[in-house]
Amino acid sequence: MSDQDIERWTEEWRAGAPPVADLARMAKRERRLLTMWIAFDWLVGAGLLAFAGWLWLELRTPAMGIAAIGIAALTVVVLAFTIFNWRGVLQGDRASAADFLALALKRSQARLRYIRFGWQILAADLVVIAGAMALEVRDEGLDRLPGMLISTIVATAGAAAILFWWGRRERRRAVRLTAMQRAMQLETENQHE
Amino acid sequence: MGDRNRGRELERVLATHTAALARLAASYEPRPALREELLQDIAFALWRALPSFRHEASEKTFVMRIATNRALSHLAARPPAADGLDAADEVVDAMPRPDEIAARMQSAGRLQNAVRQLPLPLRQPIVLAFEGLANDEIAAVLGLTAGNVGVRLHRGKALLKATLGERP
Repeated sequence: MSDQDIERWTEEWRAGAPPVADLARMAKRERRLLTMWIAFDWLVGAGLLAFAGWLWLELRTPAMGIAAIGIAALTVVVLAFTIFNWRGVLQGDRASAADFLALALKRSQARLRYIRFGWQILAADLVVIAGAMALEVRDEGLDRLPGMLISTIVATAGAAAILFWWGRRERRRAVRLTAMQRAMQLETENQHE
Repeated sequence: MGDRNRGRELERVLATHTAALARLAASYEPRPALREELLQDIAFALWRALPSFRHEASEKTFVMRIATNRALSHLAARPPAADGLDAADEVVDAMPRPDEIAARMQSAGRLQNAVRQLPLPLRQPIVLAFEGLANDEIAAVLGLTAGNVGVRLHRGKALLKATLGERP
């Protein structure tokens, strides 16, 4: 086998470029989308914090106070993760492929830890909400209990579905990254044998 | 680098390397819609990384490094279905026989298909070599030694030849 093979293949390879759309325009579109997503995250976060503030200041019942603390705590945790996630999305792109894989795996494991933390937060939130409901029933009777129960079930189911879907996706990603890294390492080890 | 300057610089870089990026993306992603997604991801990553380009390596090496990393990230998130490289485990443990792969090949784009069938650790240096990178540049992109790259290229070429049904 000679380098003539490489030359011949290179010629054939370069002749076969698939058609490409305007990449510069695509990059601009991606930037706009990303900016919109980040702005949306912050808007929703600000809205939730404002709502928690309103509950705290306007309704002034122990149940609503607890609910306000729960909402504010959850919002801060989610916003903190948003910053962590966006800042790291393209981290390590300038590293070599081997370093990039190691970094991507580390980030994937950090995301999995965060998802586990999310389940814990959700459980803690349910405890807080149960406390708020108990106070509400004690002070105001059963009138608002069905509404509170339904909204709690809907919100919990939504959050649990997101955490479940995201966790499954992230576990798959981690498995693939690990397998890719192992394939690279094995190939290198084989060369040394 | 200002936003406008960066935009102009990106346009220049992309104009120079679009065809190479398209070929590299095609070697990782056979599905056209997802290939476009990968290319968009690469273009955006380049926009992000351009201010940090210090000309320590050639522009092509810099571009290929970012594109290769984005492609790896893409593979982790969206594994190609019904592809010989679906799982890296398969790449290592159950490399398809060249005659099996050859049977799946079509005449059009046979080289591209053959390259896509190569195990990832061999495909990466082969693609970069086809794009004109020297062994030490490939080593810098992949985080290997130049010796490692040489061995992988040799093995990649042998497998590619067998896959294409050419005589060794």
